[in-house]
Amino acid sequence: MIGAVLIPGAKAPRLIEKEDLARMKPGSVIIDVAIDQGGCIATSRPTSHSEPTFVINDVVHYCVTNMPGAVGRTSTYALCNVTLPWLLEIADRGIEQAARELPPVGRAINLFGGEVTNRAVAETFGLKYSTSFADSLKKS
Amino acid sequence: MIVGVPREIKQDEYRVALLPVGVEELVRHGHQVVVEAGAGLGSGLADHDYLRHGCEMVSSAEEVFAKADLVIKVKEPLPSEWPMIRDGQILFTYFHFAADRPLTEALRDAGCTAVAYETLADDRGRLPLLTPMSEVAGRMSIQEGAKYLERPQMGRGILLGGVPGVAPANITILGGGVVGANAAKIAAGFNANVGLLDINMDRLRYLADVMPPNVDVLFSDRHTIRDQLAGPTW
Repeated sequence: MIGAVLIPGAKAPRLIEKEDLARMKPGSVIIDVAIDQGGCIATSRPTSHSEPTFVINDVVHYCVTNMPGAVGRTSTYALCNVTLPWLLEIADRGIEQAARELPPVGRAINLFGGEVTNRAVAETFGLKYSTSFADSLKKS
Repeated sequence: MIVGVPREIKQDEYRVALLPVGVEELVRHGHQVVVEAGAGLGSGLADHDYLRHGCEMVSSAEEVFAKADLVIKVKEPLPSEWPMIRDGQILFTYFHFAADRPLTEALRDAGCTAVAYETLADDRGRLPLLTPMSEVAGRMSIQEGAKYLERPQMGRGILLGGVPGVAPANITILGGGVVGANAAKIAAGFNANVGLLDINMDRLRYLADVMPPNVDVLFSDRHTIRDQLAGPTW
């Protein structure tokens, strides 16, 4: 069983309850890839690469939170392939011009000048959400 | 601009945020690059692989943060790195702020500009800097599942692909997004019996078109999930 239900920015929906495990055969395996978002299986709890699994009701649970870290070389190349073009844009234009000219960069800015510029982050913690950065992009 | 690359310090983190080709490209664009010694070792990239493309190499993260206008990383800054962050400095990395209030407040108060990989969304709402890691996790999930189905790992003692005359493993994948689709592709390649479940009919139609015949694309509801958990009799 692979738990692959990921909803960006939200907690993963719980799709399997503890009593459902009884339907699985002894020695079955659950890999909960959604563990970073809380997991989609009731019996999941985060584990690490040094101790990746635990057993509940004869079902092996694997809930490692940073799976890509273990295959660091593949992951480094996969990540850098997509980040480098954006890094070059930001370095070449400067952050304010990049945010103004490239909407994805603007959306990526979570903090600016001591203020929280991402609405979801601000609302999660009841912090002040600042639109001044977004407003300054529109004006100029 | 001076771009800095510290070594990642989170436990079990072996990635690095910049490849040697990144040094070459940045230098070609007229920028300077400062790399902490050993930053690439976890990914099999030696210091001289970076040095030969014209970066400066320093012995500590403090020096990287002190010099860089922009620091590129993989994981969120850990508390030991917070005091190094300067007012106005750009940090480009995964943050996942919504899961970490102390991080959010510390970096807000530091006055840095936090550019988060996970919220860099294109005009169609896709997250191009998250997708590759979802692809890795999805593909890796089958590899790990195969390992833990082995008896010495407490598993049932089943070979994922079976052999002629013996049935393969049954794999159910909950969710047909990037992670699930990548898991299904690898599981199918192993010759397992695969059930791929989702609730979005458009997505299911697409997956049914592109997946190999040993992947059953199924609408996900409680009964389907329970039936899949039980699996065939063997």
